[in-house]
Amino acid sequence: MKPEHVDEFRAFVMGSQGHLRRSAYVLCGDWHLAEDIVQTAYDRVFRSWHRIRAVDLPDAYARKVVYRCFLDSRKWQRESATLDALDALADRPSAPEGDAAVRLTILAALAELAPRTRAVVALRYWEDQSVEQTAALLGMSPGTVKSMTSRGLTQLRERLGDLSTLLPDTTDTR
Amino acid sequence: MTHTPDNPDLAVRALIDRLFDDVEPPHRGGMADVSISHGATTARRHGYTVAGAAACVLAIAAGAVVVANPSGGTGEDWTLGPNPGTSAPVSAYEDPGPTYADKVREIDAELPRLLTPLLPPGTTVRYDSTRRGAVSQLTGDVLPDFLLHTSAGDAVLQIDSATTDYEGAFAVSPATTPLPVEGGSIRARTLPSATAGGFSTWFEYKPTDTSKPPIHLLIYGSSKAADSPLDTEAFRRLADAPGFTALATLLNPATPASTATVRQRHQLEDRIATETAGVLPPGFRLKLSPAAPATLELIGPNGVNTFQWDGSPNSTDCRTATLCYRPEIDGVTFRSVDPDGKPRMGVYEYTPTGAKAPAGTVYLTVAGKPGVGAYTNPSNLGRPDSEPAPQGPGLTPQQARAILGSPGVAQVIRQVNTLISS
Repeated sequence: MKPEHVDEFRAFVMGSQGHLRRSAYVLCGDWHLAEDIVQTAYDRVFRSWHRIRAVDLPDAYARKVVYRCFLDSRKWQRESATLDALDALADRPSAPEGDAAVRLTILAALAELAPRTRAVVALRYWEDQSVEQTAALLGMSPGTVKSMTSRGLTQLRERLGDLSTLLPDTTDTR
Repeated sequence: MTHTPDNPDLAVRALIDRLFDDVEPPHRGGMADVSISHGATTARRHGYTVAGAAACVLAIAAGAVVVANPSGGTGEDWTLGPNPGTSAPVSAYEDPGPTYADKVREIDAELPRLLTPLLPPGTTVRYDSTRRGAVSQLTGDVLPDFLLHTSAGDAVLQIDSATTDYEGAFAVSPATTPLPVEGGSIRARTLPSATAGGFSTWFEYKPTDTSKPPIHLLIYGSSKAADSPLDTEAFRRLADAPGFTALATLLNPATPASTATVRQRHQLEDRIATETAGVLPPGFRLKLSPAAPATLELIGPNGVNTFQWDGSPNSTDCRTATLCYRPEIDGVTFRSVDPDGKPRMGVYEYTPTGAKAPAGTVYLTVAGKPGVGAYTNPSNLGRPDSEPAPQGPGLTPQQARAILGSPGVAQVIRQVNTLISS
């Protein structure tokens, strides 16, 4: 590979690592595994860099690879909260205490979604991808994306109750 | 007045955003270089070396032409000229004593031997060079990791991972209380994955002697939590075993690498010197970087530079028998460079006469001393306090051309890169 392409790749990693790591964290709920997923994605991106840099948007391709790596990989899955702790929090979905407990609650709810449903929810709501973009990225039909989106929302509401109780208070100045 | 989004899209988005309310752990450093290193390994397995070897034969045959006509037929004078002399002996910049990189290599080499006997029967640990530990962009520290194998499968062992919250793990209710062991106390906690499969286990050994640092280990894998290679009782036995003292000494950063490890490094550097004797100009020598493992430095008359070289299978920018140059970071395309005698840091590229680009193209990079920081080039990443020598000015075009145009240089490059990666 041309040295300047290698430098381009380095600059790309520098600029994309933060967001991709957060995306992977939304998917797997663990920073270590998130970084493993992102590293695997970068390995794949680098092998195709000479093509990606000329044709595709590198960010879009890297995002696709992160999500595919998450769905493909089962080997290093681990999460950092016990089932007991998560179950205890789940008993009080409408009245969590403390920011850490809220985050654990949200992580637990996401973790209970099937991986593909979790990926759809993350892409549609956190990555702001359209139905068509989500379908293309995950290799499924738009109809499947819509049904998984609906199912994911239903499961989140069943798990968490009224979502608004988990959101930070904001002051309306009107 | 509380105002929350009515739109479920916004509500879910805001919900996920809450995951990042807290300060994120520091980023794992060196991700780009890890991918680049993995890519180079893949390229070698896929046969680029075979193509390079064929081109090398042509380069050797054509090399006589280059030597006989130092101007390369362009009328320019590419001869090196008289030895510029040295401001200080080359040996002044070498590392006779143990370095930080020696310590990292020693941990990689010795931990499996010291730890395996302390593990439960049937559990082994090994170092995998393809998983070479990440380098922190904040400190230049290398965070080594290893592979644990048990009947339940493989798991990863990390030493004192800077990106994991040990105290947070021990604080998960019910909080982990210390258990007394020989010479100190331990804490151990396994937290299973909330979905099917997967676990993490955090360990801490805290010596009673507060002058010695604690030892932190993290093990994670995809099998059930009950199959974790080490439970609390196994870790207690490990910490109480007579062999644990040697392991603790190995992991103590205040303990320098042994003379045996330093001697191995000197022997490796001597082999590199033998390999490169016909390639480097007078007054130059390669050594292993003291700041990071598997990294070279070029020692020159006036200091040291981080150094890399390799074949460039996809490079087509440079015409054959033309030396090209670009600055390391600017990302501009290669331009031919005249033999102006001005030393530079950056990337030089060359395709010898008779060789065919890109298979026969070779390049080298000379850069600054090892450093840290968010904007440090990953190729320079390393402990900055580990290299006391002054920074060299780089290479002149004549010096770079003498290296890259040497007969058989492609094979020398492959051999040296193999030596430092082993």
